[in-house]
Amino acid sequence: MTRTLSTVCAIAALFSSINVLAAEFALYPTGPAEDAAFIRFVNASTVALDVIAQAGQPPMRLETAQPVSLFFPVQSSSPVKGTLVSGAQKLVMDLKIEPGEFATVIAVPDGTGIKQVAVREQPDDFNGLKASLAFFNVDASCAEASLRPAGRSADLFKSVPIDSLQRRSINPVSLSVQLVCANANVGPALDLGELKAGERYSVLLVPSIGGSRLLNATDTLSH
Amino acid sequence: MPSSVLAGMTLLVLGESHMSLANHLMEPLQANLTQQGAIVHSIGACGASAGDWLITKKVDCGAEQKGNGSIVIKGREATTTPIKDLIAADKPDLVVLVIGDTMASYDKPVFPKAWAWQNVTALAKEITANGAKCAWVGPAWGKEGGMYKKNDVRTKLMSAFLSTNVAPCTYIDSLTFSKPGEWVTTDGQHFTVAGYKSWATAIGGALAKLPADAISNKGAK
Repeated sequence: MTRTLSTVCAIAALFSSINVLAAEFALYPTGPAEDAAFIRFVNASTVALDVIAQAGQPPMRLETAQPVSLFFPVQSSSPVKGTLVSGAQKLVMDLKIEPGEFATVIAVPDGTGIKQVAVREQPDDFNGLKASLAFFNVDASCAEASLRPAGRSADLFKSVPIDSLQRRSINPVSLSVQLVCANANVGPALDLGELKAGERYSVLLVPSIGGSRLLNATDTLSH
Repeated sequence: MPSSVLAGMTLLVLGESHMSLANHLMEPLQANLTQQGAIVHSIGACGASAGDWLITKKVDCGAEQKGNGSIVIKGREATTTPIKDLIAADKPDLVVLVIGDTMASYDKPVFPKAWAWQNVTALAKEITANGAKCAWVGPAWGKEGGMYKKNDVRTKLMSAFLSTNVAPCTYIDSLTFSKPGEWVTTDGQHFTVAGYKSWATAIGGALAKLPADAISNKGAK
């Protein structure tokens, strides 16, 4: 995903977060005092979303055609503050992200505007030999939200509660997934392509005027 | 001595404090690999974690050794060098990384797995993207306690984490080279000359057993 350098820098500065992990500068540090933490943004609305760290700084814009940002490192010692701007609507964001946490802030359609939903994850499945797939559900209209390999009856993810996620390790194979609500297929299958070992992927179930829909992204860290 | 798979190969060996001081790992490992016929360039940076080799970072001490030359010890002028620049300069077939103890947070209650994943995968990907193969040497058993609070449980966890996250690098499991406490340490984490000699011999032996396609991209086309 391509972002302008200035935007990335602004976001990084915004959250005062670039790898300032506490290190003990003894002869031989053996690791940080606390784990890294990350945040990303998803625009599930029908118009562009601007994420603004501080007034006057350039926003990070998430167009509807490219709705998922990279994961940006943040300091878990202080809250992540900013503003989500969608059209004329502004939502204040103030999140405390714990060490080891990956937070996904989703702008979800809500009436004529948006609401923000933060879904938090403390992954424990890092494995360079497998692919990792997560299923996020922020769509209340889909009962017993489940995901299946297209054309199969077995569930990859079953009845994921609203505003939460499930994640699992899978073999790095070519995969298409089918959304299932109330045990019935909804919408077309989503082709995730050839999954790669060591990569982490997300499929996000979001609401829309036209009904439930799926977004997908690779969980890529910003450098 | 029979011909080694390493003969004629160019090796870049990077590491933490084990590779940064005299009478530590750098000299016996350099000697072992050179004796196998490899062209070896070793660089150590005290306390450097995997991610530090993506940037230039000042460290408190370091060392460097090339071929049959003597080790050059560095003080506070020591830095890491971005791996991309090192690969461009040396054009190694194989990058050998001796990184583990700097990332285990032995003295902290929680292992920083998200940070470790970020660091380890970034370095492994960068090496691969720049056309070299890599082998990652994990931590060896030390002695419980000491100034770095090294302990067997976290050492095992660090090694297990690396074994499943360094791909496409090949993992060299140092825990199979000795029994806990077998190699005598000076501070719980750093070994005596004899310990380092044993570790170097074991690493050299493990690298020599790797298949040719894990050592070099040359001839793989």
